[in-house]
Amino acid sequence: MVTIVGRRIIAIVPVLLIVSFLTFSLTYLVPGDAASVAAGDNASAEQIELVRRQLGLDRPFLVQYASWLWHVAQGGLGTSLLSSRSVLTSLVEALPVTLSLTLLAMLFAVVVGLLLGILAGLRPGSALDRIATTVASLGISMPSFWLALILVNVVALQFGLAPVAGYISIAEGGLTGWFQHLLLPAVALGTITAAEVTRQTRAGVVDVGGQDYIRTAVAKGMPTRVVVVKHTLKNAAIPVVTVLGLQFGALVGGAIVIERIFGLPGLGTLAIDSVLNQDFPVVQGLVLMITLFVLLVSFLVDTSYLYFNPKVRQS
Amino acid sequence: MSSEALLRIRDLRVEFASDDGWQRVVDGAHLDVQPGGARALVGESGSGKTVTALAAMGLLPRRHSRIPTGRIELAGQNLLDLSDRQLRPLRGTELAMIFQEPMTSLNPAYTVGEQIAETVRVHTGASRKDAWRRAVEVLGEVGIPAAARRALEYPHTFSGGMRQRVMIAMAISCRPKLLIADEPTTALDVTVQASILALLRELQETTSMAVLLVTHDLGVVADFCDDVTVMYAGQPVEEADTVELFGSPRHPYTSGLLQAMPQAAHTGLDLSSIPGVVPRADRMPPGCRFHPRCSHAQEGLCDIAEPDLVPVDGAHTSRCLRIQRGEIDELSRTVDDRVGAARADLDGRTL
Repeated sequence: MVTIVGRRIIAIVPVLLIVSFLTFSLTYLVPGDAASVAAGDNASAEQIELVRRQLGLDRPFLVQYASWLWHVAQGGLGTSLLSSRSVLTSLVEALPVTLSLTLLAMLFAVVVGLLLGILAGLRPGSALDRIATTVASLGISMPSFWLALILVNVVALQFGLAPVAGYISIAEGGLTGWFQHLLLPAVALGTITAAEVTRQTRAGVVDVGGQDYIRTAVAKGMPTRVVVVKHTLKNAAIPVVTVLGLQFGALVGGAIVIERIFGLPGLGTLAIDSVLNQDFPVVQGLVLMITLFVLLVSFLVDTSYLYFNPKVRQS
Repeated sequence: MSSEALLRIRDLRVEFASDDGWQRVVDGAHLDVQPGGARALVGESGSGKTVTALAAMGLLPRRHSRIPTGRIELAGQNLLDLSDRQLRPLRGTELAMIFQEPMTSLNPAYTVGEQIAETVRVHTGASRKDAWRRAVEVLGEVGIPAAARRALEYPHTFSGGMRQRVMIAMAISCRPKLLIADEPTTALDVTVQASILALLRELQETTSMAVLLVTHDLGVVADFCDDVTVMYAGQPVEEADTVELFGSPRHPYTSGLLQAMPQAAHTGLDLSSIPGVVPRADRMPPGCRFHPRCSHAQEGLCDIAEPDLVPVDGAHTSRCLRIQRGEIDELSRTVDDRVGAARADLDGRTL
């Protein structure tokens, strides 16, 4: 079991390397010149060449990549071409916002998705099941930016139940202020995931509910709660956890749009700004960090299989 | 029938939903299991025997089945009057069940020890430690070697026979008064079958637990049951004690089943089969339900009049008009010695 976990951790390294190479190349393939960005709008050709040499951008591509990678390995992600601030500092500043947003969205998706999925899956074909399935279909087909605008319009503007935009950290506004500001963005962002979780949970509960061992659990006098939560859910969990892992990447992607709409100073906002300004070091750092998070989540998902399916532990 | 029966099923009807409305798959099930006794419920696939057993456990699919009439009494209490919540504490403690498919009847996500211990905890309120101790103890009782270590393992590390032993351990962990065993050996190797049956017989004898054995294998019945109920097309067609039924069957269907026993061939008798199949619930023939397959059927009688289950010889009951009228009596002669043959055969297997 330890070797399985160890192997999965080691497998993260080559993926990170490949992704780092791809992002590093991508920024060189897009039109635009990093040196002219860094030199400013009114720089002369000589000034730009000077900046190019200073930044080391005149060296061969592979040398630049190796040098960048060497710094990354030491924890340095370089400095922004625009603000001259450390990329790492910018990322660390923006990270809590995006992390709060995605985790809240995830929480919303898990709570709503599991609840609807279980209720629907326990009585397939019932009115409740049909309602839940319809709601899930609607949820999947609603673009999050559209839902965000509707939520802002109705909940924030018409009823005044939540702030329209902005972010307050827990340190500034306490848990309540933090939560109020993230509620609408998290719901908008998490709805598609909630719908996916609902569908997977429902399918899992229906499937597992028809298994012989569930009949065994009932036959030996287990209360319904135990039959559902202990015997059914653990066996139905693997596809749900898998979907959650896959959805994490989608959530981070979706966060870019949602942060824009709600004016949240997170990674998404940083990403849009740096891409529009061709601030390549920031883009590279961002992609690398998001990749690391996604890999981490899929590692957690893989590891959770060991818990949910004892057969995996021995193979 | 005696009034002190542990399980009493009377006029039980079970209907399943289908595209054409409700189909009656059990029509008047009737049987008793005495305390500490062993009753066999015998019939081909589709005879309604498993449905009857599931009904007794309250395990029929709720949305797709209904029980329009009937009583299922456990120690005088009609289980059909109980809500699910009221029935739950009885499952596992008063009546327990093991199933045909040991490979899929255990939860793959929990250790076998936990699956037994949780039963003990829920029913007795025992501590985790005590419940686990009981789980190991009962695993030992059903013949699992190194029970303390095996309790920590997951079902996929057990063979089919061992899983059925685990199922039996789980079923008897709270000392139920009645064990319903639905084709417990059908999915197992022949050699394993005998040892599982020997285990069940031993448990029944040593713990005075009553057993309702649902099976299509008359060899199994001869080996271990006191009484037999034969079902055909959702109805009981004959009921007697085992020796009586094997020695002088009073229904052509029972006689046909006996002649179809592979063990019969060992005694030099011809192995035969019953032509045709059990009719579908929506295509029941008029008159006696067995008459299209019956070599003794009489035109103008069996295809018109519906027989009832009536006593033909003391407690021996039969649902055959011609037997009831005394028109057939040669059934008995063709099946002499079947009990002895079956018992000898099974003992051979056990060894």
